[in-house]
Amino acid sequence: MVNAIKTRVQRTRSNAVPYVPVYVHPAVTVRLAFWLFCCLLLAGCNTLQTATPGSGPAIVFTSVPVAGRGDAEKKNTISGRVIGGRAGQQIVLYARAIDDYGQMTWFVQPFVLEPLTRIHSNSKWSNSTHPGFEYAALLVNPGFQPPRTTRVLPTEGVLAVATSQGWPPMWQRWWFPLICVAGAAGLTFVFYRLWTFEITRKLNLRFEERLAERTRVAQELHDTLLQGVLSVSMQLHVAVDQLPEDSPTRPALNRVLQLMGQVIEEGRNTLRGLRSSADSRHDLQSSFARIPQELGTQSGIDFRVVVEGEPLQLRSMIRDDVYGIGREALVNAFRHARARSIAVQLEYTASHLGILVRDDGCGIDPQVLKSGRDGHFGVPGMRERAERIGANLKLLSRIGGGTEVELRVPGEIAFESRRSVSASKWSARLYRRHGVEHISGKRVG
Amino acid sequence: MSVSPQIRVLSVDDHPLLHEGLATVIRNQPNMLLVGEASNGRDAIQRFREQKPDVTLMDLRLPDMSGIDAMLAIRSEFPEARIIILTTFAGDVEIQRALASGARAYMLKSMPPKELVEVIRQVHAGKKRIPPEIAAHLAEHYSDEALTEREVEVLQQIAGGNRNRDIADKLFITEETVKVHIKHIMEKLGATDRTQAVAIGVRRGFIQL
Repeated sequence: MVNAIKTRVQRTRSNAVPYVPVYVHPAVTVRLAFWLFCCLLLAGCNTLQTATPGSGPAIVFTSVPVAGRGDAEKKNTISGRVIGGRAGQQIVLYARAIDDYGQMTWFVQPFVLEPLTRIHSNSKWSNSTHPGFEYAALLVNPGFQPPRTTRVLPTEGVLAVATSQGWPPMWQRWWFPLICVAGAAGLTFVFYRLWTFEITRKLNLRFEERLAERTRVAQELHDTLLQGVLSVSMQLHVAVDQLPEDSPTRPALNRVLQLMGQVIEEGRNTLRGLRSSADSRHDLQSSFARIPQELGTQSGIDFRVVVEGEPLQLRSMIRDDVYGIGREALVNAFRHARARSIAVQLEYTASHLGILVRDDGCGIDPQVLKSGRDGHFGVPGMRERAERIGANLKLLSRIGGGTEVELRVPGEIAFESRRSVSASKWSARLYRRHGVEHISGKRVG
Repeated sequence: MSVSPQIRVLSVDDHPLLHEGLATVIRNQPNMLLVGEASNGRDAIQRFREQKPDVTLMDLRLPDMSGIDAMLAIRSEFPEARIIILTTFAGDVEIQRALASGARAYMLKSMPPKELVEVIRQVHAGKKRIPPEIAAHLAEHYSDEALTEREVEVLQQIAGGNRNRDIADKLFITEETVKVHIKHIMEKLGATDRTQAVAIGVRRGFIQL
């Protein structure tokens, strides 16, 4: 059974590309642990020993208590079954413990005055016993006189014998630490899922609010500003047409009309797009790649955007915040770092989205890093954004040693969810993602 | 009496400022006369009965009903009514609906007034007119799959900032059904998220803001 699991793991792995890092998702871990646990239980059951002298009757234990020191106060159930027994025969039980002389001795069970256990008509027997390190059951004929204690189990008049080690207590068994680890992993996973679920829920709520707000604003703009401007434009057109052809004001007014046309067009597009923040039509890497042009920075800085892994579809809310953080980091690097080279690294894996902005510039003063100088290094803003989307933001900087800003967003929050995907498909997807890896570089300036 | 009879125009729009602009444009044309202004659908039908204008300029968005519904109401009474849809956006769905409902032309408010009066003249002369940029937009989505009535309702609710559960409650369907509708909407519109779906829905005229 354990071997079966091993082969299974190997089979899954052989599907993947050879250089795939060994990475097992929490859900897979939990499943493996569960199977392992079941196998151990089965394996454990097989360790119940039975002993049969010759081919005569035999005794089988069905349940044996845990092992323990002799204790007059404690009693546990022991039970079993007889194969090939005859009517009138009985069971004598012994538990092995240390006697007053420090010797291992069999004590008759459950009591000296009641040393016999009846066999039921269905050939099963059951009784209680005090704890011992080992247990024994003897099949005897009527009239057998069992010794109260004995160093060696009697054989005279005994038809069959079965002995079994008592179970070691649970926490002493070899599989116990494994179960603990698996349990801890399972719990961690559950908490992780709950946490991401909560963040996603909050984000969705905020998203709905924002959408409603945008719709409202768009409606307002449409009803007031746009209609007003349209009306003004119409009237201005008429007025311009009434001017004499050679009027000196004509060119100026025509220019105004042209500008108004542009304003109307832009206003219309904004209303239709409902989107004022970063343009969602462009992916993250091209949005970052355009930043130097937007900032109008002078050439001479080596700027590159590197993508690792296959870019995945980001949730639009996350995209806004991730772009905001990355942009802030880049603006700092371009404006304040006096860097010679600046790099953005985007890392897409199933488990997270990683963004690393790195420069070789003058570094940020630790004081500023901590508090953020007025109007500069929107570090608090970046932290706030990161916290809002459940992301981990790290800033590393040394005076003269460059700056590194690293953002990690858990995959479940960052990427568009595919909720109905079953665990097996999930892991398949996981491996596929790890398998695809391409790097594209871009130079600007 | 006169050689070229005046074209009597009714303008229907709920924005006073826009009325003012249209009035200026029409008043400035020697052979056009603005015979009435209406700011909602019911008003428009009433004015049409009173004035029997030659050409009606109709906004798509009116406070009480859609411009298309107002147009249908007018045309059920006066099948010869010549109505021009004059609106801010050009969504392919709206244009199609407007033309199918009997509009003679579809114009954008942002078009130069000269073009507007030209279209009024052509419509008055019995022609139909769709400006090239609107025709191009129409052609672009000609083969796209249309949203069902229910999907439009759901999209409208999304635009209102409702969560799936709220939408389910409002439309008396289960949350699962809402999710299925949203999935179809996304597929048909080629959107990746709700904002984009709303944006495309508005752009193409499935929903109005």
